[in-house]
Amino acid sequence: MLRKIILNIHIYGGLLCFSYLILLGISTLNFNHPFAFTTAGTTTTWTQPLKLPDLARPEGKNAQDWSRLRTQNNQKVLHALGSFAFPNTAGDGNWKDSDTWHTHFVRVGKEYDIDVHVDQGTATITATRRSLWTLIRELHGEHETFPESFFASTWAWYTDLCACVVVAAGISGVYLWTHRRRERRIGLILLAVATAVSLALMLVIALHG
Amino acid sequence: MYNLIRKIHLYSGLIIVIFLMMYFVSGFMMVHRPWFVAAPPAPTTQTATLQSTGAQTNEQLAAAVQKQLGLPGRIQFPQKQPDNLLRFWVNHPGAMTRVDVSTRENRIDLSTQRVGLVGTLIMLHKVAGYDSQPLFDAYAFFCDLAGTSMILFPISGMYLWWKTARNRLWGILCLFASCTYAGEMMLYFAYAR
Repeated sequence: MLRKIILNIHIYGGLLCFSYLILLGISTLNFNHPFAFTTAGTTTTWTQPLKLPDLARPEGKNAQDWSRLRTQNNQKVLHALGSFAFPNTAGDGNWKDSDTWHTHFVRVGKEYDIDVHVDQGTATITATRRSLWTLIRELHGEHETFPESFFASTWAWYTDLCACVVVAAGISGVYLWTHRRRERRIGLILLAVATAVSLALMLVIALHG
Repeated sequence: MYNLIRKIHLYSGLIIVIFLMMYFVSGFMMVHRPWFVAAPPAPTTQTATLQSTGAQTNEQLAAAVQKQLGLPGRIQFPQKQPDNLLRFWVNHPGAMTRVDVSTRENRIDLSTQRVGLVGTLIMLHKVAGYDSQPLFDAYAFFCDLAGTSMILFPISGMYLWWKTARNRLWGILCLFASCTYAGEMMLYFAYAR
């Protein structure tokens, strides 16, 4: 009975995480072999109406207030654009000149450089869409909470689920193998040798680099 | 065919299980860093005299300094260099050493930060790519094995399930949910604002 439950966890947990494991496998290989063709992206620039007359200015504000107002300005731009990206660093977003608020947003798969022309009520947006390879790489362990997108935030839950499922699948896989008499000896040799080599390699790298 | 795939699934699993466990446990720690990582100890500092002289590129000088000091690990340069200094990091799982080299004063300043067990695991997770260091290359080979197995396991596992399941409904539902969700997520990240 216990064996059947464990087997079901192993099978259905694995099937539930099927796509995540494939993406993780591809991205792991890509991290190890970062070929040039996997880094390209496509960049497009356009200008669109964007009315944001009430963006705050730094005059007369102390550093702390200005930091808060800068965040608010960025949020207004993000709301107006309908994007769930976020500023790359806390320092992103500043007045380029008296009329132009410049900011930079990123998220998995996309990057934005934005000039908001307040007087004209327009924004010039340069968007870079990452390549499929980069997107897969960025999804590797992605664990961000996107306040503007509930759907995108659920990827963090899937990441947690898959981490737990894989650890459970590894343990349950070993447990299930121990119940197969015919393959016990060869399996034990493989497991012992591989464990010794893996742990030794990790230890040597950690202790002596 | 079934037996062959079952054996591949089983034996490759037994070979790579420790590495996979390490990757997923350390990955979980990485994304929930505040739960696991305590405040790091204060870095230790050290000063040495630069022995390497003559015109060299930053990479050559960094390699010479690493050799002079016997620092284990891989060299990493920051995106921006400070004025009048060559700065680089020599990192290996377990410790990160910041090296500031002043060729004008023939002086090397070292600041070593130990990272503890969790930090070591996280750094082990991040080791990737081949270079001329055999130890790291061997590790990168295991990383390749782990990456390949992450593709191999779900595919071979799906085949084994398909061949043995009496009732395939729940499996199909799990598989459909997984593929639809990941596919939609990729499209969303690629095309949404």
